[in-house]
Amino acid sequence: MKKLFKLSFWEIFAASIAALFAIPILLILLSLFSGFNENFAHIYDVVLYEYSLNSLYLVIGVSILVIFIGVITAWLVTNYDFIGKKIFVWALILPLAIPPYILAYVFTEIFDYSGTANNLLRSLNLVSEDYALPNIRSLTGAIVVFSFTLYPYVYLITRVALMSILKPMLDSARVLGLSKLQTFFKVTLPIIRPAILAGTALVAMETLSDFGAVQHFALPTFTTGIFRTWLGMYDLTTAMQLASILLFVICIVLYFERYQRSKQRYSAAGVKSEKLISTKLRGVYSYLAAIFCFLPIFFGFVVPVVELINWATAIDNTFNNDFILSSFNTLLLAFLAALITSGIALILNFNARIDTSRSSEEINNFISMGYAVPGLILAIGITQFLTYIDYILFSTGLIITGSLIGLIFAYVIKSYALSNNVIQSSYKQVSTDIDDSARTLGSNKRKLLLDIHVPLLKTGLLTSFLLVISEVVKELPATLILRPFNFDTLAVNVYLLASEERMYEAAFPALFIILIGLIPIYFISKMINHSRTVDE
Amino acid sequence: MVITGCTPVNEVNIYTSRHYDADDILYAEFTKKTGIKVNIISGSGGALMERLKSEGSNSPGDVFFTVDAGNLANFQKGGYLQSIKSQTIKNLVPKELRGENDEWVAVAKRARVIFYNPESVSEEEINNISYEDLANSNWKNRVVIRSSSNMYNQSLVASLISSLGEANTEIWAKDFVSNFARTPQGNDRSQLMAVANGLADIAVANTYYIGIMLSGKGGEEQKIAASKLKIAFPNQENRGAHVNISGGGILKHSPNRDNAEKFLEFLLSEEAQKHIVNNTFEYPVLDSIDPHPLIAEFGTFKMDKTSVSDFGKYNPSAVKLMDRAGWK
Amino acid sequence: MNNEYLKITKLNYEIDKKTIINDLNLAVKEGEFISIMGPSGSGKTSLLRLISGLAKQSKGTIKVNHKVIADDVTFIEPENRNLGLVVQEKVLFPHLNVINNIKFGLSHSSINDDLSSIVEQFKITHLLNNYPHQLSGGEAQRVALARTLVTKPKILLLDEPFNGLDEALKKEIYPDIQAFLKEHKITTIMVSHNIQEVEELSDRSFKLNNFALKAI
Repeated sequence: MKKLFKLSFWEIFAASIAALFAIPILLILLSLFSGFNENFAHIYDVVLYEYSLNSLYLVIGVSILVIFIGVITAWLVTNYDFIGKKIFVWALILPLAIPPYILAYVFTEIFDYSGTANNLLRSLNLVSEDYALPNIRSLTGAIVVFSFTLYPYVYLITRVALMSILKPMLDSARVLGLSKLQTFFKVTLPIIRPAILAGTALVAMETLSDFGAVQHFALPTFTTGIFRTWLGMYDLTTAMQLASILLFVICIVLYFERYQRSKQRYSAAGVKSEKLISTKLRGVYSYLAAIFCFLPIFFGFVVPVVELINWATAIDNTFNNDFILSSFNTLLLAFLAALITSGIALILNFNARIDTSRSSEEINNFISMGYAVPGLILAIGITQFLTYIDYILFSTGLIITGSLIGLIFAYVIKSYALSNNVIQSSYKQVSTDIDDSARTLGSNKRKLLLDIHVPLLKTGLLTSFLLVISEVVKELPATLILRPFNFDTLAVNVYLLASEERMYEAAFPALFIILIGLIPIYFISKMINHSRTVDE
Repeated sequence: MVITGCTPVNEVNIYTSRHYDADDILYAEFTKKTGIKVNIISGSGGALMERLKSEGSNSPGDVFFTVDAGNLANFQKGGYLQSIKSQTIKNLVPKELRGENDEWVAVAKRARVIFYNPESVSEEEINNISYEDLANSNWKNRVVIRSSSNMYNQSLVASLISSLGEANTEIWAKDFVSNFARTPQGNDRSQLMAVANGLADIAVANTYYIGIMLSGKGGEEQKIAASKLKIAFPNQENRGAHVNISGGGILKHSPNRDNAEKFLEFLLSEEAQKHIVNNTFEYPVLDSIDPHPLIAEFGTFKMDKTSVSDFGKYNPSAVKLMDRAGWK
Repeated sequence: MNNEYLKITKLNYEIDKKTIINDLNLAVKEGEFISIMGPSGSGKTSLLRLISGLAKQSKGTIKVNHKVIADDVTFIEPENRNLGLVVQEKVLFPHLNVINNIKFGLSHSSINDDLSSIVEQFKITHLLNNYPHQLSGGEAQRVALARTLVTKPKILLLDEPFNGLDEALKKEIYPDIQAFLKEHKITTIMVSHNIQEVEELSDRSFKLNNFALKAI
């Protein structure tokens, strides 16, 4: 006999969220059907090639550099013991606290013709008066900047992969007759390759999404082109068409990343630390390893932070009303977004847990792709979406564009994956037997969620909350476009001041952003500390 | 947050794409004088236009306040403005500084001129220089100017199209671009710094920046840099130096229309004009007010009387032309 | 006396095309204590899960006190079946102390007579303020039993609940449990592999083999 068709509240909720998340993207893709006007033709003829080439070179250059830095440092830190290694293990991720655009602003100021670096070289008489280091505001400069802030992704993922390669594994290979090199290629490499590629794909997506850094460097790429077309040529449709092209590229990279991640067939959780034995490096080699690990941290974190502190203390009136107001705005937004995102993640994961069908899980996976969409593109799609909603709500006199709703919506889409990961892994720690007991003792779903799950997920929820906050505080392009009346965030302040070349005034808010950016670093380093090697 | 219906508060909602801190004082002065509360939304011209588009007739915007006639023309073209009725305003602002149908008016002027370092530029080279001269080969590697994505440059090129025709302007642009000492980067101030530091010999930038830098508002380093520079006003022998404006208009669906007009009148009052002159170092629209001494010391000059509303007219062509010329 | 307090008819259960239970029939009298034995993996736990509603049958009918709780058309959610389930894994709620664990299934929060008598009977009075992680295996099991029994379930399902207890403790506790169950006429189904336990506690016993039950 046929089963009764019942759509539960939970299922409707999950489907609605998925639809909601998808709409902004769909609206953008819809522009491809509106016909291509003369602006697009102009872009196609004159600058599209350049955008594509720049974006391509940027991604390739950054990928090579982050693999170089990330893999080698992960290798050194996992397999060897040397001076300062204990610090490097977690310090290597510090640059993640600095959003690419802030590093771009700082490096520009430092390496500019009349910046700190050149002045230093000249004052030390190492170079002539006319000499200047190569222009940082170039493709090469951009590659360097992105590499220094983004290599931690590759470092982290590679390290986790390396830690799953236990010595007994390698020993078996040697006993079976493989040389060291062969062992590397036949055992080690296949295990770490998917990790490296996944990490690099993530870096590529972040690079393609950036707006602040490339704009500051006057590098014509897709994001600056989209921005320029919309706001300079007043042509939203063409901008959306450009955005669609970028979306396709990102889609490809995204699927590549997911494919690589699915090829990772191990878990580093519960790795017994006695099995990770590291070789001690002596003498010169120890120093070399230390220097190699120190350099990325130096350029990616130490230098910018020190310079920013310098600049912030060089002027007074840093702690003024604007800063307080912006901070308040920023934290308010972040708080709201974190609340909503964590709430949705909780409900959807709860749904996936109690639902026997796989649909909830699939919806969760689908929604999690939001992190890949560039903030700029999200903002455009959401603007359109809200316009349509306002059109429908016209008669009520309510206006949603220009309110915080659009902005929070963008933040939620962007940070959902992060929140979902945390809550999903927290849920895995809660045995389903507990669910069973609760239900046989009379708990309905609501009681199960609120009285049992939530208290047991406290740590995960808090972590999710904090992580989303730090994501939101760093966000720039979507905020620039979607923010309402009288509402600047710290990131916006930094952007505006930096584009006016007022870095000294931008320093303090920038430091605050970095400070909050240290939150995820703290959590990640805690996780890293859980699996230290035996000699520590 | 979410804006609902209408509430009877005496206010005026200003959409502005000027980001000068000094404007906040202007708004405060206006409130003090009239008791009308001022609400600000700031954003780039394009972003504001998108907002207006989606707000439609529900838009709470009253005034659009911006720099560059190109921006104003775009808004007027899009139908977002309405005609200004105030006779006071019309009397104070000459025709060439008003938009079509009086849908916007200038409240301040700025010129886009040539800044140079007298130590690396000879009298001969700089005497009676014109924008057209900047394409000459003697300026190879000696010129800096900001990106073509900036509205000020687009308006400059638009004015050249208006005066010289598109074909000539395109030829000029290609040669001009080949004289750049570096790929366009940074804003106007950055160009002036580049000249002061010896990276280039001339920069094309707006007049008010020298005022800001000399005043010390940007710090000691900028003040010192600015003191090394001199201004040459181009095209004094023919049409005059390119002049652009800051200006405002009343938004089409303004719910507080009277307040909007009062605000524009305020901007043209002696008090506000003086404030503008002293804080953003622009040239006043009112003849009775003198420009700031730091600016005035560079002398008076002949201003191009091409109607400012042409900038908007030729803007799309200018943008594409600059792209074709390789002006990044 | 109700001869078919629990009645299961033609029960079928498949997961991923694999048959776990096929054409299973069972009738249990009110207040009866039956045991089910069988090799591991034979579906004993699944049977309990089906009765409790934590799993959904592919085909068949389950009735309690002549009311259908599960068939092809109806399915009453586990929280509404008023059945009790005690398993061998540690399933006390880690964030609640013992007394709050025990009170969890009760709709009113006051300590009533039943509650205190059960607590005494299971000898856990001194543990009321402790948290699950502070209990020994045996203590935790007693708390789990108490937690379930305090809700006066119509049917009690036990999945090897006495595994963690030492012999002496079992000897102490069996008569108390038996008495309690008999006094409150709680129909009980126990899954166990301990023959002595089965002989001592059950009225009837079955073997789950070849997907169905056979009396032993």
